[in-house]
Amino acid sequence: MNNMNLNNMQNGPVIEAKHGTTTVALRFKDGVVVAADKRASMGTFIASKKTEKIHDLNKYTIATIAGLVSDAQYLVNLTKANINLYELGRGYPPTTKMIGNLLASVMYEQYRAYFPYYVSMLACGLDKEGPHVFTLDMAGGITDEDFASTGSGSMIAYGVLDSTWKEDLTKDAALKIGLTALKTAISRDTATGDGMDVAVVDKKGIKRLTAEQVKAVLEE
Amino acid sequence: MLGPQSMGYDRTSIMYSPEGRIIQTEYARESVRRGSIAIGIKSKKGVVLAGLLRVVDLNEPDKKIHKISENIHAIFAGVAADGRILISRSRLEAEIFRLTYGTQIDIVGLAIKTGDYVQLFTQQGGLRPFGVGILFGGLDDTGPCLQFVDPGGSVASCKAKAMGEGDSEAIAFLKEKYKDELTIDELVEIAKEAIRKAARDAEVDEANIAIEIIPYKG
Repeated sequence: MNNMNLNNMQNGPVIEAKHGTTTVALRFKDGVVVAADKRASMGTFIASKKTEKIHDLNKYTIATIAGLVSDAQYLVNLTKANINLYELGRGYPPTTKMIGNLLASVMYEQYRAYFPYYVSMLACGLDKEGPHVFTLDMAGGITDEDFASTGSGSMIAYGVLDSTWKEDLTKDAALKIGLTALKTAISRDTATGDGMDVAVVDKKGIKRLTAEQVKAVLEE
Repeated sequence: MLGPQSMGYDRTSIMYSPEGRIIQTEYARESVRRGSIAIGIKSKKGVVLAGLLRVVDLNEPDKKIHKISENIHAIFAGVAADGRILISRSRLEAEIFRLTYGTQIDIVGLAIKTGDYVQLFTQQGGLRPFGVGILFGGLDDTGPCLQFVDPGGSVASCKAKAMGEGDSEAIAFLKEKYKDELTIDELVEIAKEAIRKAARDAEVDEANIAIEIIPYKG
């Protein structure tokens, strides 16, 4: 799901895509921790050092992106538009589960039209059912996970997540695990790096961590 | 001076009369009033839909209440053939939503989708507006919900609603009895009594009242 080899594409253009990334997300007792690096790579070249890979979709749902940047940005904008239209018509927002499934529907439709979006996304947030971490692949598959990682460094991050995640974590413990997983990916994957963006979703909504707060968590 | 009717402004729904009315849509509302009475009422404890079954000759009575999705039922009054189309349309919209978002549709959303469809028939040439008023009742994330779509395509959120033959008597009765704290049993009683009020002096057999009770635990 995370290995997108664009050169295998039979009929389409061969694109040198920006797709080195690591994003991680994990559930804790009353919310979700999400973290991503800031590097965009084109092969061995670092194309950007300040890429925004965590996007707020609405008050309680965020998405992380990995893969082709243009496709991912378009999908995020399209989904935001759909969320706005949904909420304006009814006066209440869609749930995280609905947003995840909407993204999966859009991606599946495009996959079946032989021109899939080259993205691997996580849709995370909090709704009536509790915290969710949805993984979305380019074929339109969707799974609800305890924790997940996407991008070229995900294998490394999964090593940390698998060995340390457990049920009913506190927010601080979840932050520590998520940031350690991302830090490990940064230190071993050449396409991941240039700092971290971190966000926490809980009952109060989405909160971004400052660079100092991230540093403090890692040094604890 | 000729009236708007004799000027032909009532012949199509795509033309306003000089007073700014769409007379065809008003006629469509009259045809709702000729249908058998349909009642919807909700409180914090749930939603109740009820309707009077009209028996024609030796036919089995028509189904008055229709299931749209796992959480939603609908009842309509007016031209039965038009209502049948709106029922299948709203079932389709509910399934499209479920396929897209992975959850059951909300009642406001369903009413808006149905209202969008109904409205088309008041603005497109060669079409006759739907001769039905339709009520969607059920439970979703917002709790018990009751939505009304009229032949013009407007959508209204209701605490209680009556449409069909005798609706003014029924509405007067509902206004008098309505409280936010009604229990499910009280909702059922009020709905049945409203149907009897709408029937005026005619005897209403219990077997001729269709009723759907949707209690809310939460």
